[in-house]
Amino acid sequence: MDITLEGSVLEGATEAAARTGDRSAWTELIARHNRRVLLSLLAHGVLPAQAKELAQEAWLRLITQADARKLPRLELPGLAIRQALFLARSEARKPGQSTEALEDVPESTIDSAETQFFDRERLQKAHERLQDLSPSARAVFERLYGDPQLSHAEVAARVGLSVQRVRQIVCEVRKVLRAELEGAGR
Amino acid sequence: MKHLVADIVEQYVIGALDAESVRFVEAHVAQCASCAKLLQQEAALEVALHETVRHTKVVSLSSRRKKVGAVVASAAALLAAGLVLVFSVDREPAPAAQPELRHCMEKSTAPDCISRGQFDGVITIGPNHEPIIPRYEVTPGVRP
Repeated sequence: MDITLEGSVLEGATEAAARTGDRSAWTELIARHNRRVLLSLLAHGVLPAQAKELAQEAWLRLITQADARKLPRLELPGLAIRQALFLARSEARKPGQSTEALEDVPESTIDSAETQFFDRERLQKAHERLQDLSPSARAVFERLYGDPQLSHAEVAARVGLSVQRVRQIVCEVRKVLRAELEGAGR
Repeated sequence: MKHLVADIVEQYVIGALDAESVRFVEAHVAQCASCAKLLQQEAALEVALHETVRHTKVVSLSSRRKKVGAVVASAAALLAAGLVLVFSVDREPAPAAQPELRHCMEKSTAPDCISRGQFDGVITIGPNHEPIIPRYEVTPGVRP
């Protein structure tokens, strides 16, 4: 796994296999990244039921494009998020739809970045606050929110804590970073 | 209409609720704009947390690349110096390996630096210039 300076995850073996139409590779990638896609939609004000449909549609489109050999690269979850946000924005523009938050999403955001709720300066401050966390809290946090993203149970097993304790740590970390990041969201 | 408490919404966003509670939250936010807004905020924070970790990796990758450049330059200089020595000095027995030392002089980062040193099994030098010998204990294998 490697990342570019812009933070996009470069494609690995699974992504390369998916790009050539390997269905089991797609299943693995969807299981790994779908939650990120859903979260991005929710964060833009899409309700859960619609978010699930849009995420599913986004994955289907990517698979179709892969089957047609129209995907020169597959960088996830960014590409799936962009596709889902594009679909959400298209839905919001249909007559009778009222997903106000999506109207605030500039096209450039969908085209050029995954979500970018916060500027680099604020992320840097949040990163600095992370350094104040205890080593065990940081270990939990980095495993939960890093790539590859692990489940609470997987993280608990790796760091030798209970799932309940891992979730407590997540809530504590969120509390710390909420204060740092709050007020900068759209 | 009663509203969802923030803790429940947070648990939903981090994926800690059981299936029944998930259905309850989703049904509620479909009808309650106030709670839907709360869900949006919590989801935005979750996305931001992912971005923070990604940002951390980008920063560390960037600095690592600079370090690699410096190491390559140093290695080239050492290689050149070594070639000069090979041709000008008789060979001597290699000195015994020295224990690795790690300097943790910066007060703000010293506890973490020392903690990592303990984990890595290297001697650390703290801000008060005292060496700290690593303790060899059974740990769950978590790198601090």
